[in-house]
Amino acid sequence: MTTGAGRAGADGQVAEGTFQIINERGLHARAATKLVQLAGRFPCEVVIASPEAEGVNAKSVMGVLLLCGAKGTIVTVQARGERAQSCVDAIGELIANKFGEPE
Amino acid sequence: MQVVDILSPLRVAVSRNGADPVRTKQDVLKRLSDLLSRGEPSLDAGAIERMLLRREEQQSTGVGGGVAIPHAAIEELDHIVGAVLLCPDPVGFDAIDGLPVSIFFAVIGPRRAVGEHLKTLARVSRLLRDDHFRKSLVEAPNGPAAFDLIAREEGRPP
Repeated sequence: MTTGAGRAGADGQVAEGTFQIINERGLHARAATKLVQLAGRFPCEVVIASPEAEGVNAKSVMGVLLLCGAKGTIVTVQARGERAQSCVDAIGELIANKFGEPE
Repeated sequence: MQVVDILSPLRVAVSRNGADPVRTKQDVLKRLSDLLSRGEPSLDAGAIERMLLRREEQQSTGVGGGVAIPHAAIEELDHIVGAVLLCPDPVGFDAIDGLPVSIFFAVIGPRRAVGEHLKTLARVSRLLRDDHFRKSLVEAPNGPAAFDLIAREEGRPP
């Protein structure tokens, strides 16, 4: 897992992180909903990419479901705007914590 | 796999609030369970309804934009089965965006099919992500017409 250093661009903060989905059931509906609810607490724009889908809105459940994030999938999270780095870190932590699911 | 592969014109319906209205989450799940069991004689609609309800009690499957994807694992199934219920009068469903829901796309399948389940959710999301398509789907006059709309939408190049 890597987290790109936050850098200040002309339009504010930009942050990026690459994470592997490690929970057994992957980005199923409840996990996707948790991710969307978490992203929604941050004011920045957040997009996620996987091998199945590019640049989906992390604040949309239908968007996150498009990633088809089975266990083992690598996803890249990009945030732009206020608290971008905190947002990427929080999403990385949620993924690493297996979305808080018992397995 | 395409969304139409798990549907049949028999399992797509438009709710017209006449004799048998669909006004609550329970009404929706009952109607979806009836649709899901059509053409699947091994399935008991009551058992499906209980499983769908149990899943909704954990967290609503209302994904926003007037769409919900109720789903459950069913032991007896060896393949994925879908059904669509369209409600021109939207129903409160505790969706993530708080909006009532007019498009219900239900999915049931075997417990072990984790990868197939994720692919199905992705296909359904891809189908329903477009605002204009959702609007035209809800305006379909009946189930077979809605099924044709879905088949045509999926046949379009992305």
